[in-house]
Amino acid sequence: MSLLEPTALAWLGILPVLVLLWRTRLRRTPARVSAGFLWERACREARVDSFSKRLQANLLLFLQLLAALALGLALARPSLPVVSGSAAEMALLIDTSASMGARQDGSTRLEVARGQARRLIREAPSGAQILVASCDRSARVLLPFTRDRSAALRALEDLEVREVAADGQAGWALAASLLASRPEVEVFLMGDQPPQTPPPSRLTWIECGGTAANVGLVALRAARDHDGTFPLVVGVRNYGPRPEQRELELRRGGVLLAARRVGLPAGGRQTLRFRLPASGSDLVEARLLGSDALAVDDRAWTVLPRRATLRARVVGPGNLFAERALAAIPGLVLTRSEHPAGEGLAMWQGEVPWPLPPGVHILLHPPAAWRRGERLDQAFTLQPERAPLLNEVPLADLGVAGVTPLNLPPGSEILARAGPHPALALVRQGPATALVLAFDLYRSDLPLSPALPLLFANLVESELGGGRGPVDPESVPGQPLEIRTMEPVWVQGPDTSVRLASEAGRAILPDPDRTGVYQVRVGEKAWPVAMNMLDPRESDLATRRPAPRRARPGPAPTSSSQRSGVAEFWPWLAGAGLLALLAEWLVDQRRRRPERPQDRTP
Amino acid sequence: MGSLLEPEFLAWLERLRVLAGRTPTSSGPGENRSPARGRSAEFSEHRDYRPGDDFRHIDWRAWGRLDRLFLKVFVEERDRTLSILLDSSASMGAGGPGAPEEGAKFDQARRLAAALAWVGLGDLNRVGLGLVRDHLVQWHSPVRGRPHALELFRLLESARPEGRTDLTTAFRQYAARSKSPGRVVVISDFLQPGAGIEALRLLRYRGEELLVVQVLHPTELAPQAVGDLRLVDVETGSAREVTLDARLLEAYRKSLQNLCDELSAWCHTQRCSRILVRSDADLQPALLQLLRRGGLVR
Repeated sequence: MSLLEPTALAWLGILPVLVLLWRTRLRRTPARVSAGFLWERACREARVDSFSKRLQANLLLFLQLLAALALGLALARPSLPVVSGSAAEMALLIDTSASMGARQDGSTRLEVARGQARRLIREAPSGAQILVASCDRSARVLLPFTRDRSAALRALEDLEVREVAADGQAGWALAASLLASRPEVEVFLMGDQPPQTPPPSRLTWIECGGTAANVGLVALRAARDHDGTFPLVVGVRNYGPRPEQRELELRRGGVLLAARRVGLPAGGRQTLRFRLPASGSDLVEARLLGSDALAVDDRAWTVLPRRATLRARVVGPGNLFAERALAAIPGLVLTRSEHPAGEGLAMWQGEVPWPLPPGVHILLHPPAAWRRGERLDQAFTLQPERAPLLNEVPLADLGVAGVTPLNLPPGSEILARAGPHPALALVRQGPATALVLAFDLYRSDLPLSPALPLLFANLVESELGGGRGPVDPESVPGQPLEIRTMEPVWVQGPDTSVRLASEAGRAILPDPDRTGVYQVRVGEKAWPVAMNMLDPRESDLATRRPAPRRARPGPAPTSSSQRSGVAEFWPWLAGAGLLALLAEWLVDQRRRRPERPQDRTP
Repeated sequence: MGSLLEPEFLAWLERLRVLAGRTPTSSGPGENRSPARGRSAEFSEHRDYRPGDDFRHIDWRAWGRLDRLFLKVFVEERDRTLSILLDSSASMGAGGPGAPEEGAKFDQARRLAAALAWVGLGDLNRVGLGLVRDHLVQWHSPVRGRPHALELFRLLESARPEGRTDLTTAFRQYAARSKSPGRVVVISDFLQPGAGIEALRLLRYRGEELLVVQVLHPTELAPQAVGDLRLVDVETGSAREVTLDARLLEAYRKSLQNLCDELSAWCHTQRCSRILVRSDADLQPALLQLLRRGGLVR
């Protein structure tokens, strides 16, 4: 609520004057009576000392104050911003991100937004086309433009809060595209995170929910120490305007490990450190006890880092330098095998079966299908390209010889060149990925530098996840969950259980929208994935001011396109003031002219 | 005072025949019959002689015939005494809140007292007059005959309503001054806790025949004032701030009604007459009612 004429509040200064005048008026007229004891008795019987009697005695003052207050406030012209939908086309974009689940005054922000949307639908003119869309990390049209209001209301009922962080641009982009494609559309964006750029004239921002106190987890991280224990860090932040005290519980595999009381000043943050023993479950949960406006950030999970175990097979006669470089990778177990297929990494020395079997390969000799000629005896200096796989790999100025000219298939990534010829390349063909060394390793400087083990380590890290498993142990809701596997995958989440097929070596859970622990099962093995909502933008429930609307030059909007404004309710206040004055007059008259007692002679 | 008893009013009083009471008592002989036995010409009865009786009243003829001693008993004739006790405390000069004039109640009371005295004296009764507050302020011993009326009127004229009320003390002092019980007219507002019943009971125990006259101001019966007032008791000086509204007025009326009912009930049980007179009422009908209810007119 705002006041259009706040200076008029000065009229409220009449209130103390009224009280002063009333006190002056209460100098009572003395009256001599013959029987004071009878009046004492009557007062006791009528209970004139009771609160209600005193209230009645001051009823006139109360009514006068009420009238003055109402009229003073009416002069200040209080108003409330209102939005009304009267467009022929109306698009309702409703934020469904995690913060919309914040509960204030018994209802969530989404319920508030839903109520606003319902009102807009009810007030829309007959024949208006209505579109209902939700937006959080991405925008989704739930109901295309339709004249069916009941369908629009049903679409509203189907809206649910998704425990994902909002991407302000998602709803904004949908709104912009609607505004651009439909000149008559009016867009209403309902949420709790206003656009930071001034909205255009046909877009109306409706804020749902105000400032609310909230304490949330902001970090949960674990590492593995050299002695096998796990240092763990938990971050807690108070987003509210007042100091808060909360209990933090730490559980490992469901078993309570620690509980601490966390005192947080207003807006303050605290970091708590724990050290977990080596043995036990890999799954750790941090939980803030008690309740606040937003529950989704009161729990977080983490998966303790496992010791990496990765198998690498050497197929063929092998190469001493390459084997040494692979063996230097921590957790990697090198074996010899003649079997061309299998999980993990395969290093080929000699001829390679064609086409390549699925998996990750290191080809020390290029396949015949890619060769363009015989080996060259000429020596070259390696010229590395800018590629993620060459991160921290010192290839520059290294000399190589015995380069085989290659005709690489499309989509191949050349990592380094020897003169005009590709010397080092990453080739992806279907489910197979191959790092190709097109030179003779024995006739190069690579074994003399750390470049080779670093290159292999980068390959293992990027393509095999460093041996930690087919899936990253931590993710965030709303982000596709990618599982590196050739086999079908079962994913079981807090409220989902789905079987995913592998395609091109990857299975993807496209849109996980719940926090919690997801179990990814590949064959007989299972990997937990912690899905946490630790986003300060969602946890901070303070009201944010929208960017002011820019005044647009041009004609003023017509009444049919006037969607938003203010509702002044000074007439109601003025009416209430006049009613109070009328009541005061009636009460005064009634007191001046009491019922004439009948002449009853005792 | 002269203005209170106009010649027309006195002429009207002359037409009344006042009886001083059905069982008059007086310390001296008079012309009214008395239930007391004594010396007079009218024989009443015989009774057995008992040692100590006056030999002079022995019926010697009966002794001669019956050989027994009988005593002749005669009806004793005494004066009838009417005592008028007028409350002259401050409350008699006041009224309820908003009373337009002060003193109306006391004026009415002393007009009543004067009229009673005038009628009583005109019927050859002995009439005494006392002014009471918290004690017996003044007491004019009973006198007989119209010539004494002026003394009583002067006493009434000089009376002023002031001071506090204590009827019990005043009546006790009256009892000490009065020689024998007779008819007592008490004129007061009886606006005191207990309605003065304790004091009336004192007189009743003494054998007085009581006539209770309660004089009230119209503003006491139905207060007209409203709003915020500071009520000051004229006798005690205690003050109370009140807001007079319909509810409080109703409670007051109920309290007054209870007080009057209490007084009326006591009078009924004691077979006394009790009359309520408004201070603004016409005196002649009020006095006629008083005389009739009190059995003072034949």
